Amino acid sequence: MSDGLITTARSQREFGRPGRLSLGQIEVVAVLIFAALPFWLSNFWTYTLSLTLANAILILSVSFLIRYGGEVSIGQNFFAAGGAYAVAILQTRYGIPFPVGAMVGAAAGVLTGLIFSWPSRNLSGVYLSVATLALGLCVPEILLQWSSLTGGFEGLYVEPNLVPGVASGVQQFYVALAGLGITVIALARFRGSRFGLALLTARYNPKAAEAFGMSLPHVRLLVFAISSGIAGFGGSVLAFASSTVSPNSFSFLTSVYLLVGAVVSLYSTRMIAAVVGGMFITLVPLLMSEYGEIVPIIYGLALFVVIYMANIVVPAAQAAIRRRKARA
Amino acid sequence: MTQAQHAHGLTARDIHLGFGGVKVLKDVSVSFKPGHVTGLIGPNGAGKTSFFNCLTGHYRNDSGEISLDGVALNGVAPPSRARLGIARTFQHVALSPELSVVENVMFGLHASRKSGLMDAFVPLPGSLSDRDESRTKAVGALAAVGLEAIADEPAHVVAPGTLRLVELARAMVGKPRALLLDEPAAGLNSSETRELIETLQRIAAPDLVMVVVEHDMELIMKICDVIHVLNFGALIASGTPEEIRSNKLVAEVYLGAADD
Amino acid sequence: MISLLWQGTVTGLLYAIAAMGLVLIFKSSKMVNFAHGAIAGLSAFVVYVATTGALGWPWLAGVLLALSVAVGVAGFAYLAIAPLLNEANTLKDTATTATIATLGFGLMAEGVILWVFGSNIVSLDLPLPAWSTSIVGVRLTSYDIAVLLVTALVVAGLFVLIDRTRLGIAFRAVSSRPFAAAVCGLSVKRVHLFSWIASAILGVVAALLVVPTTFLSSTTVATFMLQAFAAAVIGGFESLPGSVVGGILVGIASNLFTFYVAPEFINSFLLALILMSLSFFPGGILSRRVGARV
Repeated sequence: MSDGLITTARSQREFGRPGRLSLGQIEVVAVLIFAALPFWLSNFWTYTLSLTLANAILILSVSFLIRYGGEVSIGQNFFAAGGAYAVAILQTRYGIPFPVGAMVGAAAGVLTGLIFSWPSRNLSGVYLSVATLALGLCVPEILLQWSSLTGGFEGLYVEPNLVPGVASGVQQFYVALAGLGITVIALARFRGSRFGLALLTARYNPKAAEAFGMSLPHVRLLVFAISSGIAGFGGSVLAFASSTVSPNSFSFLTSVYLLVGAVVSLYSTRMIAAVVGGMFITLVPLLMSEYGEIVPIIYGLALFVVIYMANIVVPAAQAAIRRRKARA
Repeated sequence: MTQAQHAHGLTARDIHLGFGGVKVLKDVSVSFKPGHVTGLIGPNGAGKTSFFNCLTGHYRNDSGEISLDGVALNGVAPPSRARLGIARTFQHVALSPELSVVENVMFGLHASRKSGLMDAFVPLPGSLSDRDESRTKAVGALAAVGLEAIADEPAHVVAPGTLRLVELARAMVGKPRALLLDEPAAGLNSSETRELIETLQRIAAPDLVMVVVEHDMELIMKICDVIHVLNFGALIASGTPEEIRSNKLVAEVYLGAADD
Repeated sequence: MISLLWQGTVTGLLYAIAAMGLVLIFKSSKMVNFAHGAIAGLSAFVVYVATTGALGWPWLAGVLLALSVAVGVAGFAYLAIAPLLNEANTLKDTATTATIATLGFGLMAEGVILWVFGSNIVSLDLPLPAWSTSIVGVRLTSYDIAVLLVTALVVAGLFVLIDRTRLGIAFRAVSSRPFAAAVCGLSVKRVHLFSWIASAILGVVAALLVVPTTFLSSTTVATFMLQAFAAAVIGGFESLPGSVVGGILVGIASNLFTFYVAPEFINSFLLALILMSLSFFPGGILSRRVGARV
């Protein structure tokens, strides 16, 4: 099975065609332009972009799981909340600075992801997905009830005090950009690694992966732990970039919206794709704040349209073009 | 390895397999020797695939023993069999469309590589050299099947017949002790089949156990040193290609099946 | 204590009915319908609007309208998702793309509910005579009888359908060997469509029966659905009888937990229940006993 979205994203990858700008070069230019944006944009837009970049990291956690594992999770808000609250609690209670908090957030994500995916490691992915439904739904009640630790409904405040003297908006932006950059680079390195090859083989041919030494439970645990680690890290970055952590940023619907973002980004692990996905899920609610109820409808439609385009329309068009070429 | 152990190869003894009352394999005993290409043929439903799956560990035989160089394989799952030196190819090409040709072959080294998770994310010097080494070995395996020119092509643009050879390179790159081929000629046209025959003859080696399950008689007769014939789950004949060709029982079994 | 067990069983049967809907779809097309709850919730709201306020239809008419809406939406959803289902897909055991598409539908349905009905909480009761009695100290109401009757009807109906009719045989064939079934000339699409429509009906029935106890809002049906999913996990996604067992277990366990421990942690409890079931009964609670699966 070759998912249409992945095929579409794949065909955009240049395999060293001379004379054309490679996607990688375009990305570097894009990053440089991005890095200069705070000097041009208002505080509001800089803040919005920071959120976009942090959301992009969370979207990558969903995209990674689908791309490398073929599994869907609608419970990433759990790991994101873990990372976010880790940063907030460590900073407000123990004065521990953000970088340490972010590492704790990522590690907490990996650990809880392993524990969570352990019971279903030998089973069909449907059990994993349904379990993530429960995972996503239980976050608000935990955050609200454990209010002594989490600040309850109001949440906690995270001081953007990483670099003294620099404006908080600027700090938040560059931390978010750096966080996204680290994630993208780490994933790019992972792809060519021993386990990256193993996961990408297992994704399409589980029997072949087994035949060369990679057991399927290990595949499941590895891919989920990395995905949840990224989500934890993304949550930590989000905490810093938005200054506040509260339960309503980590509801079940958040997880579903992340999935929408992942679909819109064609499950790609490239920076541009993640940012596009992040923009979609950050800007749409902003622009539609008067008609909040329509947002889920727009997202549902967008999800459907993208999946349809990639799985049905584009392959049909490609086949039609091939037929026309063959006749000529 | 002592001389005695080295001579063992892959052995299957008294293999029984049944599914819900249907006996798929009855008392099958075969010895696959190193340096020999051993063929496994039989009409559809004879149990070749089931027997093959017992060898790879995908199925668990109800009774009987399978061992490689004296090491018992009963209850050993496929990933562990890979670590013991068993490699295989698949009837339907089982490569990753998302990887390039050389990356697909590099995966064949998975069982023997040592890099862990740290190396996957952080560019440590050890991991960089491991990746380079693996790539070099993979390119070498591709050269052995004549395909090093397409090493960096994405697998999904390569023709299926060529992908068969890529799969073969993936199976061989880890220098396996036993190579199990599942209908390698399936879906190939006659010129691709001839190319496959030449390649298989090239990779045969004195310490390599090669097992081929096939329907294509031309391939079987050309490359096999020993052929075993299965029918209704039982071994009905074994011998050299000439012996099998002139075996009346085998002819009956095949002609009988063709009448249906 | 006994009345808790009894109440839990009654609600559990409703979870079972909804879970059977999920299992029907999974068995025939290896995908999870995450829009199950939203479609059922939407239909419940249709009943509410039709039978109260300005319209004031008789309850039965409202229910028929809701069933038509549910069947229509489900049929439409299936037809929209069908092209994404790759019937000859033998490489991965779940239809991930189609499952993601159901989330798209769920989102749209949730959005419609929010848009049209807002975040009001309303009550939607069944038109049952107020009757109750007491047996061995346990209170038995007309509501309980209604649930028992409906469950018995549903289970009997499904059993007859799957065991005795041609559609049922086709369903069983497609569930175990879709490729072979297609080769034999069975219409896989028709079986899928049947699963979706049956699942939608089951969802609406379960939702209408549970709403009298939980009130109707944009979130109650979603929460109810988590219990249905838990029931399907415990019973095994390949087993229809398992859904009944799973549903009753979830019903009783939830009731006991809500009463004795902490109702505000019900979702966390269900998560723990799901994870424990996966650890101790992988593949479902009935999967060890019987060799062949229903």
